[in-house]
Amino acid sequence: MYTSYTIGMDIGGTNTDAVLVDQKSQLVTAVKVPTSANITSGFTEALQQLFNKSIVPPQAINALIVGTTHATNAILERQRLYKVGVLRIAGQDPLLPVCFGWPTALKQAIFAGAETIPGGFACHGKSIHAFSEQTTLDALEKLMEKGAESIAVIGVFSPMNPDHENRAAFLIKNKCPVSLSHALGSVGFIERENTTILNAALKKVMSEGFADLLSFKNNLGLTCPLYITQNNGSLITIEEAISNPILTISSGPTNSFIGASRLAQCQDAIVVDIGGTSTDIGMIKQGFAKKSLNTSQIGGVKLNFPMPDVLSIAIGGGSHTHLNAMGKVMIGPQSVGKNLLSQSMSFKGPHLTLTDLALKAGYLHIAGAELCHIPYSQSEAISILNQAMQSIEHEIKRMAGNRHELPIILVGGGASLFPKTAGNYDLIVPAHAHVANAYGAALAEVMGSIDQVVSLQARNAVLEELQQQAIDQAIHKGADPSTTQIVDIEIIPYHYVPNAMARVIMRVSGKRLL
Amino acid sequence: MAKITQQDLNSIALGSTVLGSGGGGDPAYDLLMAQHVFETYGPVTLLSHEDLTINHIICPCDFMGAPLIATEQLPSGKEFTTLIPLIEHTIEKKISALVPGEIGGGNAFTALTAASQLGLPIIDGDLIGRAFPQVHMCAPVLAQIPCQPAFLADCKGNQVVVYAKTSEELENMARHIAISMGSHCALISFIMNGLQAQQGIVPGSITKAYTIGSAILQARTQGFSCTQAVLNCCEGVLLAQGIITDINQTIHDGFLEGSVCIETSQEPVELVYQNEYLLARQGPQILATTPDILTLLESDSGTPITSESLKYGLRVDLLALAAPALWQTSAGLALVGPKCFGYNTTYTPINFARL
Repeated sequence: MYTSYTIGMDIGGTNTDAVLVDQKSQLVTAVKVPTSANITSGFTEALQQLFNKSIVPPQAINALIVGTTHATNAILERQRLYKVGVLRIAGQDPLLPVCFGWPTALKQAIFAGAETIPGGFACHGKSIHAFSEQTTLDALEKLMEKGAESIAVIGVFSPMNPDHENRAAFLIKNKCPVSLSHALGSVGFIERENTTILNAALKKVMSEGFADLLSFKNNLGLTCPLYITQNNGSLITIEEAISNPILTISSGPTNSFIGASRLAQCQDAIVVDIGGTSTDIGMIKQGFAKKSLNTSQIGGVKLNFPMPDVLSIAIGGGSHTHLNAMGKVMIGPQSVGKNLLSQSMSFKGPHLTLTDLALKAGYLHIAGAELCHIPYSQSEAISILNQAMQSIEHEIKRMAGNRHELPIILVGGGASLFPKTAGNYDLIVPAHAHVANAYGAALAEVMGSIDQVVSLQARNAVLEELQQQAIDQAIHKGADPSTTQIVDIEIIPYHYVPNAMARVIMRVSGKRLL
Repeated sequence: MAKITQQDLNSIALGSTVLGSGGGGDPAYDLLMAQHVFETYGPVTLLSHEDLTINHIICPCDFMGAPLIATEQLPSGKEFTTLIPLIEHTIEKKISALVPGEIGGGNAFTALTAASQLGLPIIDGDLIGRAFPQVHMCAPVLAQIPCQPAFLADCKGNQVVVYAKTSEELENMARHIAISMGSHCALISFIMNGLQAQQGIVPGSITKAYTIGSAILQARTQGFSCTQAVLNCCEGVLLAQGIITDINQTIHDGFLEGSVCIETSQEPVELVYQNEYLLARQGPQILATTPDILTLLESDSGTPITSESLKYGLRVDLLALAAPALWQTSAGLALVGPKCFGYNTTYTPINFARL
């Protein structure tokens, strides 16, 4: 009976949601509290409410798993970021400068200076230049003179051989926080460099934030481990999140898609997450979120993370709805956001929102709502909601392609805006749809991933060995060995390179061992 | 377009990937470097092949090797700026213009970037009119322009001059040199004068890439079909629309070989590739072959999909664009026709009546 519950939490910009989940992955209790500027305020409040609402004591919790948009927001708001010095281990200076193509404001907030030192490796892992300790120390001194508070180290082909990056870190770590590129990304120098620079910049604000979560958790009498979800929906330890905070960005959509598919018990589905301001549409294939084919971006900077494939549309429960000069109904992109209960017409506010129309249509009931303020009849309200649904349907079609058989799951705070059948679709609105993302966090799995450039001359033997490495890594991180399975394998051959060299990306996932 | 400016580069990147027929590599990094260089050194003057005289000395510029290597071991930007003085010293002539060796893929930017750095004009053309995998598969070979002397350089500053008797021998030697240079290097070969260029250059390639890319960008912003936009500005046909349901791929002698299955509303279409897409068939019927340009566009965005970035589940349109005229001749087909890649079939130009 003891230690048989898991808490999943989603710390969003507007609300902090928390759910208590039992050993059979059944949701026991859910709470929703407002988030304030401080990452920790909603955290403590949500946990206290969760314990007040259930009879489960803190000792019975085996893990607390948190997904948060805090790192993303810190980058977008450019608040409390370190100034970063960039150390390229690349031999000769590459033509392309550091931070090329970045939004100017972000570059100004983060970038202190860059130095290039000899070193780096070829694709097969052999050194192309000797590494020099003295040159590294000289470069570090120059960067710190330029105001660097945190150092990002990026070596050529370091994912193949991290030796030079590790040696540089050994020289830097006592003087300055240091971020190493091989721990953060794979082949693709510029995207990996961007990722490392953002990680170095985030070290201050996120390390403090995560360290706070850890101590607040302990203060509540929770002795279980604290995990953070990363962009692919799997979990990392709080220690890993403190040293590599960039890994925690953009876990929200993945958590919500996975949570939705488990709540609805569908292994393959289209998920529509309707929030206050926007709606995210994604696809679940065999229980995992479909990956995007495009380069991922955050705040206008290209990164090399696998991100979920998300189509977003500016329609949500708080979207303003009005007639334009032509008499056509316009929905969004402005929204009353978190002020729904004071700004929308049903609550004597100035704005007509989609929530007002859903109330009028009779799809939704909220205590205290006054429908007399809404200037449309029930049939007009239904027709406007149909128009909003048509826009969402258009995006659903784009996501689903010709896979018409896929069920469509509606989750998020706005899931109740629409009737259960819309157009040609049957919609599933599972119980607890409004906390799908926190539920997704609670179910986050442990992932082992391999991303290496290898010779595929002995193809099957090499692939088997890599698969074993990925499985071992997942088990080492805490996966239940009997549940590990391959999520995906990608093989990208290097032409013109001898010995059939290829980049192999492999992900193995397993349930957390309780 | 008498000058190429920084604003033109995005369109050229899209169009060059379409013309790459699946090969030539994703130009993302080449585009970034070109943007940086154009920002620093300014636009490049575009010359038509009609402007050229026997007094013009023209250098075709390429990177050869694995494009993916250059996304990690980045070019220094000095490969071509140091080769040009070496060439002028060796052949005792001033270089008057550069030309892309290959318009398909990342190499569309190689000569443009070097031309901006060096302040040289560029010729609106290239040696192929698309992408092909080997050095000797180019117009100067048909025009019997000698490949020697050829010049190679790597990002560390190593340089090699090769006097090869034939272009096939140059291909073989250059490949070995490229491997020893870290599998990616700069190459200048088939240096020619303005008179030779009348035969040795496929005219109009840069404008063509720009036109195709602009059409895709415009269709995207206006919400029109990108595929139709491409067909509106090129001679070509839509062969199939569907979803990628299978990818088989191996590496053979350093080349990426494979086939991709596109499920359509009728019989599935198989697209066969060796770096470049070379042949499309539907059951027993062959729809199109090299040297026509086979291009996959992602259905919604019109993003061209290279053979390295094929993914399951992608929604695609398969197009065949007419090959440059020189490749449709018997001499051209002897160099780059389907038999040269081991396919026992004859080339039939894309036929509008067939569809």
